[in-house]
Amino acid sequence: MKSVQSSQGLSIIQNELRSSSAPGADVRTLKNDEFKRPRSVDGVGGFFDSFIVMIVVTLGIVLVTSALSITNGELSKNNRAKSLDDACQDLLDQILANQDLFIEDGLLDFTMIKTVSSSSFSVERNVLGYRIMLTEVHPNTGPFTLVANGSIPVSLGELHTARVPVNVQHSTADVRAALISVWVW
Amino acid sequence: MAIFDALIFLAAASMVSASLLGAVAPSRPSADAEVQRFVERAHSVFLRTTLRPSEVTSLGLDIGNNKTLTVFEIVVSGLIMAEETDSPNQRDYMSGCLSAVLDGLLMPGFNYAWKAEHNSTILSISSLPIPRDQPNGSTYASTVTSKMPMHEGDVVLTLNVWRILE
Repeated sequence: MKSVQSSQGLSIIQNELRSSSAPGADVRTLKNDEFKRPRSVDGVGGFFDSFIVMIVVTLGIVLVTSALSITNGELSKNNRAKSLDDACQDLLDQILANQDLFIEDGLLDFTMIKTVSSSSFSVERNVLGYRIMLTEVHPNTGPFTLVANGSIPVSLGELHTARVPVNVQHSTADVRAALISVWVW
Repeated sequence: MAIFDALIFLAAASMVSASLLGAVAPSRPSADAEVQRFVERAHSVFLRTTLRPSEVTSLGLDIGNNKTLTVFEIVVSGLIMAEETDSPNQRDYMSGCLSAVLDGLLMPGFNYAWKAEHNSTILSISSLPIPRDQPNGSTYASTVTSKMPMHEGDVVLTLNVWRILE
């Protein structure tokens, strides 16, 4: 009898074990385990953490790339501007160094200015055109074009200019103040 | 921790960008030298310019018919006249004639003050008085010293030019 009772008790225990391993009970047990597990200090961040980091890094890359691009553009623009400035100054130096035009340093002979032509000047290759003007400080005279090489383009990128003051001698009794202006494009 | 690293990267990127942009900022070290050269040249051109006979006659200078004088000669005569008989009207007319030349000769965007000095006599013209708050090094000056013809001492002619501040 005893053996029959013990075998019945064993079957009851087995039944209870089966019922405890039902799907619902299993999930509950796993969830509880997860809640109890301690968080790792070196753990990997969540999606939103990575997203913010990605934005910050992208911002940095965009910043450097933009700066590089602007720097490159400005450098080429500065080089072009500098070469045109140099061309302006070079043309002015060529005029001032022309011994036929000047009676003495800074005193231009008015009778000689009609001899000036574009063949008297040499310019750098990157110069598209230039114009040399003489403007007297006198109420009855306007600007006078000494040399015009090429026409000023309508869609003008950059126009560089340099000026130098000179005296223009019309006669010994008539010496006027004037400005020689050079335009380069 | 990753966000901290990213922020350090952003700070470094900002510094690199700022230094790159600063390196290409427009710098014109030679501009001052160019303006100084221009002012000196303009001053000598101004002194060598002749005024028209009508203007010279109106100044009351007895030099004969249809003759002209250079600005330098007119200034010297003006200083002598001012020492002998000070006539404010004549001074004003002379200032008007001289400033018309300087106005056309000097660069736009600049003001000027010019004066001629002999002993204690001063003849001056200016577009505006030199402002007190003018930053250092931004006034360009040209001084010419010459023997006073037929008189003792030197005549000192000074042209000051400065940029109009915005």
